[in-house]
Parts: sequence; structure tokens; C-alpha cells
Amino acid sequence: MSINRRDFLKSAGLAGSAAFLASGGLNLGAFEPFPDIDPLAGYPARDWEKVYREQFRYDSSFTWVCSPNCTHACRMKAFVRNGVVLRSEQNYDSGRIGDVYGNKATVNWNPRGCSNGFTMQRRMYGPYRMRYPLIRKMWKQWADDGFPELTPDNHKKYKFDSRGTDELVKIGWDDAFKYFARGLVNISKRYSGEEGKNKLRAQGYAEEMLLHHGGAGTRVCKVRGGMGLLGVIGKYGMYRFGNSLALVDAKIRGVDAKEAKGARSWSNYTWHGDQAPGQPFVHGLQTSDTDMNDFRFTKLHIQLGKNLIENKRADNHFFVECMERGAKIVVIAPEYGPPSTKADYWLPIRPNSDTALLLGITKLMMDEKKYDEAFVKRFTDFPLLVRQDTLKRLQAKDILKDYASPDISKGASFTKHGLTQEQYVKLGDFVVWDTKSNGPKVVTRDDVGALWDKLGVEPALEGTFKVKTVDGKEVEVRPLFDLYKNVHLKDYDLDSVHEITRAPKELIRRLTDDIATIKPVAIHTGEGINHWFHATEVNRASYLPLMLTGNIGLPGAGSHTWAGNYKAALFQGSSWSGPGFKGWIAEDPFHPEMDDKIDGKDVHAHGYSQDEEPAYWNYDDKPLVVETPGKGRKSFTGATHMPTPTKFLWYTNVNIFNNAKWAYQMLMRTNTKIEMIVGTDIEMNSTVEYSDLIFAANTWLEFEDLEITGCCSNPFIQIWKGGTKPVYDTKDDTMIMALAAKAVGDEIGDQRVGDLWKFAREGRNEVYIQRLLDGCSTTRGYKCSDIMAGKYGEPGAALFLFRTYPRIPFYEQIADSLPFYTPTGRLQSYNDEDEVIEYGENFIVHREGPEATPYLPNVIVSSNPWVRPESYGIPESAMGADERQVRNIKKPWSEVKNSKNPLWEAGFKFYCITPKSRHSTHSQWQVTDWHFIWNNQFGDPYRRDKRQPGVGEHQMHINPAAAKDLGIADGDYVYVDANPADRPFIGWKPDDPQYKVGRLMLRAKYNAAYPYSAVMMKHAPFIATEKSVKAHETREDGRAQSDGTGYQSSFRYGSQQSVTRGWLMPMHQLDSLFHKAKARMGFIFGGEADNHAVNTVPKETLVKVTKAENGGMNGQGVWAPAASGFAPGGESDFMKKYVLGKVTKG
Amino acid sequence: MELRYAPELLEEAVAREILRRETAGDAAWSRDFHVVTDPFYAMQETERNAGFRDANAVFYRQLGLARSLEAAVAGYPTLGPAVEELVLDRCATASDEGADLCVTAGSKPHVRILFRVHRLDDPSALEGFFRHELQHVEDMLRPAFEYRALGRIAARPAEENLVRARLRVLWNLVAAGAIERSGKRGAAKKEEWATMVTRNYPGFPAEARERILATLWNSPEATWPLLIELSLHPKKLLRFCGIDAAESPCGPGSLCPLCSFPTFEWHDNAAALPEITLGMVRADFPRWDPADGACRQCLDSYVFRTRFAPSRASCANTQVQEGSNVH
Repeated sequence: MSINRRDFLKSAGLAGSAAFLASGGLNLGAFEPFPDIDPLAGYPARDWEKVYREQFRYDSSFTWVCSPNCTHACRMKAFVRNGVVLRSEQNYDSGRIGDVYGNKATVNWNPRGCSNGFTMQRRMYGPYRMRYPLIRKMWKQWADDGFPELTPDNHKKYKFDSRGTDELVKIGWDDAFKYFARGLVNISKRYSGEEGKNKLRAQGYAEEMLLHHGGAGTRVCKVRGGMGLLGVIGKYGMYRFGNSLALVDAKIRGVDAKEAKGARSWSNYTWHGDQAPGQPFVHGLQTSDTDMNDFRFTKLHIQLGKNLIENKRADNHFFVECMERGAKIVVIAPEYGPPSTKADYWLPIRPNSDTALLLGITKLMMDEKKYDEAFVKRFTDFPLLVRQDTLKRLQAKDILKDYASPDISKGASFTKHGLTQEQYVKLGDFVVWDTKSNGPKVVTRDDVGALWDKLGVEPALEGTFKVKTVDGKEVEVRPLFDLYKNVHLKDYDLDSVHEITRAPKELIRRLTDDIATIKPVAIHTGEGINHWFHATEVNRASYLPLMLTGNIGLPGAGSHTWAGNYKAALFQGSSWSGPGFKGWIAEDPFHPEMDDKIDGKDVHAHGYSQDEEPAYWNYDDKPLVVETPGKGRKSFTGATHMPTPTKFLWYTNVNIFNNAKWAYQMLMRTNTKIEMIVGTDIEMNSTVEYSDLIFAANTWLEFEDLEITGCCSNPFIQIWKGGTKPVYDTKDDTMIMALAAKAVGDEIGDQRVGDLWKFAREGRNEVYIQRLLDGCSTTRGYKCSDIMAGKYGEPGAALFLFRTYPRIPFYEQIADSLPFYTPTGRLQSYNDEDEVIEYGENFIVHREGPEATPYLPNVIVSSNPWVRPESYGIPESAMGADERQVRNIKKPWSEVKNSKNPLWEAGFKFYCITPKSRHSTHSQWQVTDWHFIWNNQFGDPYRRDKRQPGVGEHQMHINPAAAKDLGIADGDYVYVDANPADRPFIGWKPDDPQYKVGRLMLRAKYNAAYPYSAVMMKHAPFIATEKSVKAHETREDGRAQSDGTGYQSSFRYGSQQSVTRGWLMPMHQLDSLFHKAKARMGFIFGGEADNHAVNTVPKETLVKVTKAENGGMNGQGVWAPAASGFAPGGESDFMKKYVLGKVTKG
Repeated sequence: MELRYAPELLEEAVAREILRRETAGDAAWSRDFHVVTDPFYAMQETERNAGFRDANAVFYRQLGLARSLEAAVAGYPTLGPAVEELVLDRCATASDEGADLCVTAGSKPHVRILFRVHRLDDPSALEGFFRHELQHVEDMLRPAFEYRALGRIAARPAEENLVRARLRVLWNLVAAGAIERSGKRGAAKKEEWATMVTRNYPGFPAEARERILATLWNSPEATWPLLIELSLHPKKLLRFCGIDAAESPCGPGSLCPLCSFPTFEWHDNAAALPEITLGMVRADFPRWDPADGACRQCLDSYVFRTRFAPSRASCANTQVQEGSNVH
């Protein structure tokens, strides 16, 4: 019998019904089968479906790397139709990518990529795109007039005092490079020699700022490759250019290579405030970060002021997977934010008080013996003795006459880490109290782990001892453990910590127990912590519980920071591989290597330029030099950090003015002293609007030559070039520098300046990339051509050659018993550098901020007699910003809590928290249409409220109760003001048109997740400029889009940076801090950009919030959604029931 | 004055009214309309459109839809000789409703009134609306009112919005008062106008708002320049209404005399500031008097310059001068 499908279904159905009826079930008579028809016969025309399907058709595709400063660098796949990139999506390549040994990355990295990459083509083709080079009209006039001396009249005439109102006009590339070269050389000449120095003195620069001038006019030239790692060739190349200015100096001054000096190289990581500045104090390394897939090993995951959900979009799934893998999650933050929703518990805390919390936890652990004694003795400085008289660590030479250090030249310090004998002599050896012999015992920095065990010493962790020093004194010494437990932490008992932090006592207790009983433990900090003045102390304190429990150097353990793609160290130089990253940025310009086949190991590197922290420019181009009542004139800026005056600036790929704290001080005051500002960028931003000459760059999708990048959060080497032709008259960053260098060489008559970029000009960046791969310990063995051919799984990608996958910081220290990169070779809880003792931070202490505190600004909370800070005679009543920063006063909490900050008392009672946004990376994508609509509650593509600056606008989150107390309705426009003594800029007057531009006005959005005294604005929106404000006030449609430049502001007035200011933390400016060099195996004392340098700290801000305008449509009444009954703080009865879960209960 | 109706208005209004009647059980108008208009579909496009336009005009009148406007116009005999034509048209939103005066050289003015068609459902209220708008038109044409086209009157868009909204409500009060005195119905009741005053002057005390309503209601002599002035300056408005402005010079949302930002946070006692601070303010603003008030931020800036300045001993003597912008 043949039976078709329909017949079968009929009979089966009937049989089923019969069976069911027979069992006394339901009558299914209604379930009659359909008539026997073919539903596909005679179906109507379906051509319309093609329209739907065709929208995804493409002619070709290519991969490119989305490389903003998000720390992910995801390879995206772009799809092209008719020559137009229609869309980009994630490339799903991670599981294929391998290394030279055959290791493969886990497929769990997939998918990598976020909305940034998805919408990049909207930036590439978008309305704000730079289309060709531009020059400021009156700057060009100044150049055409022969660069006359900038007398006050000329200063005004050429609009150096009002760049923001000048015009930017189109210029051809050839002319642009000529003007560039003429301007650079002219300024270098003007400030060369003694005459140049005298000009700077006459302009009022502090004498200290001439320390590194050395007679070279090139030293007033500053270059910044915006987060250089984002494009090692095109972005870090800026430092290669700066180094080559030694040739310009040699020509101008007629000096040889020995004397010649290049430019000052501005930092990125520290400037962004992204570094955890305290980490080098603890372990000597720039930063401790793992690959993000290491999260999966963690069993107790603590986010301390960190928001991995919003800030790590591409890879935050690794955090979410912690839940699936059974880890306990704790979030410590003032607000109940996105990560808190995933947490086992959220520990609310007063902003800026995290150090006290960590010290409180440490105290409980020590008091209750909840620590790993073996780890403490083998890897930490807790057993080391400290002298009561000098507060220094007891050194062997203090107690042993004619002490000679043992020969450790065969040990790890020398052979692996590059310690020099001179450095070793300076560091000395240390002493513990051996309970076996009941006497002091010398230990070297190599005596850690297994080597320590071999010593057979049983050190005392507690006790007070007396030693006789070589000069005959009897000195009290105590182990650090004892000092912490029995002296220092007395100030941080649970009750006091609760009062300082406002954190619930039961949660402090619970967290202590969790850290003591769960392993591995990882603490993730970030911008939430690092952006405070005393972040150094929080970073140091975050290690204390981990040092006590041995949570270092293991999978899933450690304290990490996760902010900024800083890790030049990925391209690490070593004695066996070559100069590493330095071979690219500092190839000797006097002897440029013209052989395209040379091994990168043999490239001769020589640094003529010098690091500089832009934080000094951001401090009105000044170091921290204070005339103190007690100690006279004192520089708190160490010599290794000292800046020179800024007269020339070239930045690439950074919206530096926009993102500068105290932005309007920079624009309206500081920058007026700079004579030439040059930018390279892909989009019209506020920095471009305030520049003199702008080079228009290609986007990542348009690159015409190869570029390479890597990441601090994953193991992938990424090399790529674009796949679509440049849309406009733009060039690769590298080509721009190459042609600019050639023009400079032509101007001074030295071909070598241009030769340094020969292969870039020929479109052969591969030569430089291969040299880079050859010269680094992490990449030697790779061939660029192999990588591009896909030999390692995905064309353009490979794995860095790490010791472990995932990369685990300090794995070798623990597994192989190598010393940490500190003076003692141990994880340090104590710093005895002279400056640190003077500042009262030898022990890790909680300090109130110099501004963001209700209490006495900058007070040290301690009664520890082993903390002896210097006040420099500055009285408590002194409230100048410099004074507050440098004054060190120690008080116990019982006194601190009764002290007052006059700014707080005057109504500036909101901490201002400025985290990163999930919709942007720094200022990138801030006004990209979709992002601009999404990144706030007021996005409206129709701009029905004509006050709105664009299709979206920036907003400030505020607790509803706090807002209501101020008469502020949800959605109202508010003014947000900080201390009017210096913000938005020093010396503003009420009727100053620039004040109108700089005063912050934005929307207030109720958000009950924030505590009463904290407001939140996301970081780095596009600031209001003179032109955007003028547009907003004069355009018929009210849009804040500048006439002439097309710049779109996120604000009507001011910006998030209206309320911030520059700060110069003394602890960030030491000359004596010993730590590992950033990108080579070796050590340094003192400053190094991005490693030990001033971090910017925008959160150190108190603000006042006042109503400006009604939030309703065009200023009428209340913002409509606020009155809907569904908005926070305005819930209807129904909504209240809903929130309580009572809607369905009748 | 010729009354003209926009074809789109006629079409929508007639269709709406016929449908309304049909839904209510009266299908005769629908049948009649189709009898008249169905043949148009056989015509060429130009003729067809003209046919519909004419038919709609006839039905608009026969359905009584023109009565509201005609009744309102009858109350303003002075407009007839002064205006060339009055065009009635539809609009989509409340904010677009109102009367516009169009003046061209060599011709009498043209008037256009926009309204939302659903207003036809309530002819009496619509008549009041038209009357209110015509009252404004009469004001504009009355020389003593000194009307002139309004350009930009405030410094910033937000301020412009605020001032225009206030100007609108003040003028509405004058117009509404005049209509009430004529014994006819206007666009809204007095209580509704009171709500508008409250919405635009939320920071004023209730008595002040009542006084504003009462005063403007009875100020037929108010001129256009005066109304603008009163909109721009809340203090003058209070004085005009007989309130001692010195007691409350600074209304919420008014402009600070120093920085010109609208402000809701006025310094509570500028006169009590130390003389040295007042001297600093006067140095920058010689005509300012503490009685004029100022926002707290402005005055704080002068206080804080001293309070948060570095003490003399702490100033490094070779640092760049604060705020210096010249060499």
C-alpha cells in the first residue's frame, strides 16, 4: 500500500483521537485536519522578499581592526557593496589564532567586537569626518608675515588669544607640510640657546622648567601619539618623529649627536588617569593586568570601583561567566551599577574612602590570624625590619661595619631583570629578625620563594627589637607586620572604618571572611579608583589582603586595573631579542638604517627625546613649585619628571583638549601661550577647532599600508590594512608623519629626517613591522609576511609569545621564585623613599582628598607615631590649591570627623563621578548618530525640543531625593559648578563670553542608584566650544553645530571638564622610586611616562547643582517622561505596586 | 475682507462632519455628497480636483461649519476694511494654532488662522478661539498698539523660548480681558489663563500671579513694546502690577544681571557681603547694586577668589601668572 504524507497524518490523527477517547479523554472533534490542498501552489509573487534579502548582499569583504582605547582591539569584518562599506560584524576568528609553538587561543574569546565596530562606517562616511587638511587663517597669516615676535599686539592680531573664534581654511597637502616644517623650525630656533631660555624666563616660566631645556629649542616641542599602542607604527610613530628632532637641534645649534636633543614625548596612559599609580610601589611593575579569560579561574571576584559590564564590552562575558562557574562576586562602589546586579553582594561605600575599607579588612585578617604565614614570609616585605629613628628599612650596612653585599650577579635580579651593580649598591640589602638565632639576618632582593627557604631563616613577624648601628646608636626596629598589626592599623578598627566609609559593618566583616577563605581572589580596580587624588594609596591597599593570603601570581588571582590600552611592554626589549619597541620609536636618527633586510635586533636605538607628562601642561604649563612658609621654595616635581615650557604641540588620534581636565583653562588660558598646535585626526572635534594646522587622516578601514597593535587584555597580535579606498583627501597617519618629516628635512637641509621614514613613504610599513617583531622578546620568531598570509590561523593575527595563556602577572615570581621588581624584591606594604616618608605615606594610609571631602582637605587619617608627615608650615586654614595638595597633616579619625572643608560648607556637596560610557571610547563615537541617541535619556532624532544640542545630549545622574531637595525636576536643565575660584577657568568674570561657553549646563536625570551626595556624568563627551555655542544661539534650529567646521557638541554650554581641574600629586612625582622600566628588562629610579608619572584625577571634584531651566518641551513645564508615572522618583501608584511586585496580586 | 478656506481644510472638515453624522445615524449627507461627487471620478484630474473643491466649499457652508468664524468676524467690524483677506487653514498640532498677519507692500494685510479641525466638533468653543485670535489681529492692526514684527528678543535660545512663552501669555491676558468685557466667550476661561500664568511664573508667590492676571486682564491700553519689556524683565512686570519689585527682584528663571544666565538660585543677601567683595563686583560691574541681586555662583566667584587663593607665602614667585594669556 502506498500512502502519502497527508494521508498518514489523517490516519495518525484519527487513531490518536480514538485512542484518547477510548481512555475517557477530551473530545478532539474540533481538531479536524486541513483540506487536502497544496499551500505552495499559486502563492503570490514574492519578489518583495528580495528587497529584504538583498540588503545583506555584498560584493566583497575584508577584515580590519577596531582599535580605539577600549583595550580590546577586535578584528571586524566589513562588507562592501558598490564600493561602499555597508556594515561590519564580529570576525569570530579567535579560536583559529595560534603562535609559533602551535598553541591556540580558546574559542571562548568569540565573539569579539561591539557597537563601536558595528558603526565605524558611520564615522568614516559621517558628517563630522575630516576631509582634507585645514589651517587656521590667522596662524597662516602669522607664518606668511614671517613669524614675527608675539608681542601682546601680535598675540591678539594673530588670534593666539582667541583661536576658537578664528576660521579654519582648506589647504593642500604640499603646502600644509611646508607650513608645518617652517613653523616647527622657526619655533625651535626662537627658543634655542641662552637667548631662547631668556625669552622663556621673560614669559614667566619657572626656572625649574629650564632644567631639561639644555639650550635646545626642540625641547619646547611636544608630541603625542594618541595611545600609541593603538597603532604602533602610525601612533607611536609620533615619538619616532619627536626623537628625530635631534637632527633639527643639531642643525640649529651646530652641535653633534652627543649634545643634540629631541622633543618631549607626552604620555598617554598616565595622562588619561588610567594607570593604577600605586601599583609600581607594591610590585615595581607598571601595571598588573591579566588576559581577560583568566577571570574564569577566579573564585572570589571583587570589583573595586570598577564596572566591567559597561567598560569592557567586547570581553565582559568572561566576568559574567564567573557566575556560571560558581565564583562569588562582590562589587564595592558608591552606586548600585550594572556589575552590582550580578553580584552576590554590593558593598556601598563613600566615594574616595576605599583605602580605609581595605585597611580595615587587613586589620581584621591580621588580628584574627587569617593569613598565609608562609607566603607572607617568602614573598612580602612584612618580615623586613624598619628603623624607628629614620623610618627607613634597616639595611645590612646600618648594622654591619664595612658590609659588602654578596655577589648576586648570577641571580635573577641581574641575569633576568637587568639590575645593574650601581643600582644594587644604591638599594642595599635588608634585614629580618631571625627567631632561631634571636638576631638580625641579612636578606638580598633575590631571597624570595625557594631561595628564601634555602636561607633557613625563621623571621619574626611580631616584636620590638634593638639593634646597634655602625655609628654606635641603639635603634629600635620592628618587622613591618608587627608595625601594621600593632601600631598602624589601630586607627582602622571596624567602627572607625564604618564611619569613614559608611560601608555596612556586616558586609566589611563578610568580605574579610570571604577573602580569607576563598581562593583564588582577584580584585579589579580601574578608573573608578584611579581617578582620585589618593589613588596611589587605594592601589597599594588593594594588595594587602592579597599579600596576606597568597593571591598573587596564580590563575584567577591578583589585583588588576583594566583601564587604557597602555601596554607598550607587549613589545618588550631584552638583551637577547633586541631593542623592542624602542627600536621603532627611537631608531638613531643620525644613523637611520636603510637596509630593508636588517634584523630588528640590530637596529641602533638612541633616545634623544625625553618623556614628559602632559599633566604639567594641564596645570597651566607649570610644575608643582610652592613657596612654603616652613621650608621655603620647594619643588614637589622631581627632576626626572620636570617639564619644559610648551610652545609647539603635535598630537595624533587624540582629542586632547576635549579630554583635558580643566579643559576651558587650557583653551582660554594655557594654550594661548602655545605658538603652534598641529593635529592629525579623522574627525572634526573640539581639539581640531582649537588647532592651527590639521592633517586629515585615514580611518582604520581606509589604511593604505600596514599597521600593528596589541592589547593589555588579550594575547592577540593584530596587523591589518584597510579594504576600502579613502573616501576623501586623507592619508595614513604614518604617511603624514613621513611626509612631514621629509618637509622638515628639506627645511633644514638634512635628508636624514626624511630617510628615517623611507620605507613608509614607499608604502612598505612591513619593513618596520618586521624589525619590531624581530626586536621584541614577545614576538621574535614571527615573520610579518607569514602572519599576513594567515599562517597562524587568521590573516593578520597571531599570539604574543607569553609564558602562560592566559597571561598571568607575576606567575614567574611565584612559580620560579623570581624577585618582584621592587627594591626589596618583595611585594611591598611599605615605602621608605625620602619623599614618601616626608609625605606621610610610608605606611599605606587613608587620606581625604584635597577637594572631594567634607573634612579637612588632604588630611592623613592616622595617629601612628611611625608616620611623621611634613606640613611645610602651611596652616590648616590655607585653602590655595597648591597648598592643599602639598600640606601633610596627620590626625586620628576622631579629630578628622569633626573637621570641615569650607568648600563643602559653602554648598559644594556633591562628589562628581565621571566613569567611562558603554557607548563610546573616550570621546570617540560621542556624537556618532546612533550612539548620540542611545547614550542618554533625551535622544531624539527629530530634535523636537530645539534646545537640544544635537540628536542627543549629555546628562547628569542624580539621586531623586537630592534633586527634589534642590527643586530640580527629572529632566530639568541644571548648572553644575565647581569651585568658582578656578573653574571653569582661572580669572573668569560673569560677563565674559568665554565663561558663557565654559559654564556647564546639562540635563539632570533622576537615578536612584546613586547615593544622595554623588552625581554622575559619563566621561569625555564633545565639549561646547565658542563656535558651537554661537551656533546654538544663532541657528534657527538651535543645534550646537559649529558654522564653518561642522563640529557637533554634546552640550549646549560647557562640558564635563568644566568642573574638573589639573592636580599634581606629589606621590606621583618621585625621583627615588625604584621600579621596572616600561618596555625593557631593566630598572629605573624616578619618572617615566605611563609608568611613574602624574595621573590625572578628574574625580577629585566637588560640585554644586542648581536648576537652570525647566525640562519640558522648549522650557515649558516638566520633561514629559518624568510625568508619565513610570520614571524614577515620579512613580505612579501603579508603578509603585509594580516595583513592589504587587501588580499581579490584585 | 474676503474669507477664504484652504481646500485641504474644506476636504477634511467636510469628510469628518459627514462621517460624524453618518455614525450618529444620519446618512443623508453622505448620500448627497456621493451623488454630487461620484461623477467627478470620471473627469480628468484638473477638473476633478476643481469639482471636489467646489463641492467641499458648498457642503462646508451647508453643514454649518462656517458659522463659528463668521460669527466671530462679525464682532470685529474694523477688520473688514483693513484686511484684504482672511484665510482659514488646518494644522496638526496645538503649538501651530494661531493667527498670522502678512503685510506686503501695496496691499492691505492678509490674515491666516490655523486651527486643528477637530475643534469644529464644538462650534461654540471654536467661535471663542477665533474671537481670541481676531482680537490679536485687531491689536496688531491698531496703531496705538505699536505692533512690529518680532525678531530675536533674547540672548540665547532657552531664554528666547522663555521670553516668548511669557510674552504669549501676557498678551493673551490682555486679549482675553477685552473679550470678556465685551460679554462674549473667549478661547479659555479666566481660571485656565490663571493656570498659564502659574506655569510661566512658577516661582512667583500666588498673590503676585493673581495680581499679574488681574492687571493684564484690565490693561487694554497695553502696547506691544510694553508687553515685550514686561516679558523680558520679571521685575518690571511686578512693578507694573503694583508689587514692590525691590522685595522680590529675582524671580525664578530670571536672568542674573551679572552673567545673564537664567537662574533659580539667587544669592539670598547680596547686600550683606563684605565690602571688599562688593568692591570687587563693582569694579567689574560699576552700575550693579546689591539690590539688583545676582546669582549665587557669580557672587561666590568673588568670595572664593579670596577664600581659595593661595596665601601670599605660598605663591612661587616665578610661576606664570594666573590667567595670563599674553607674553
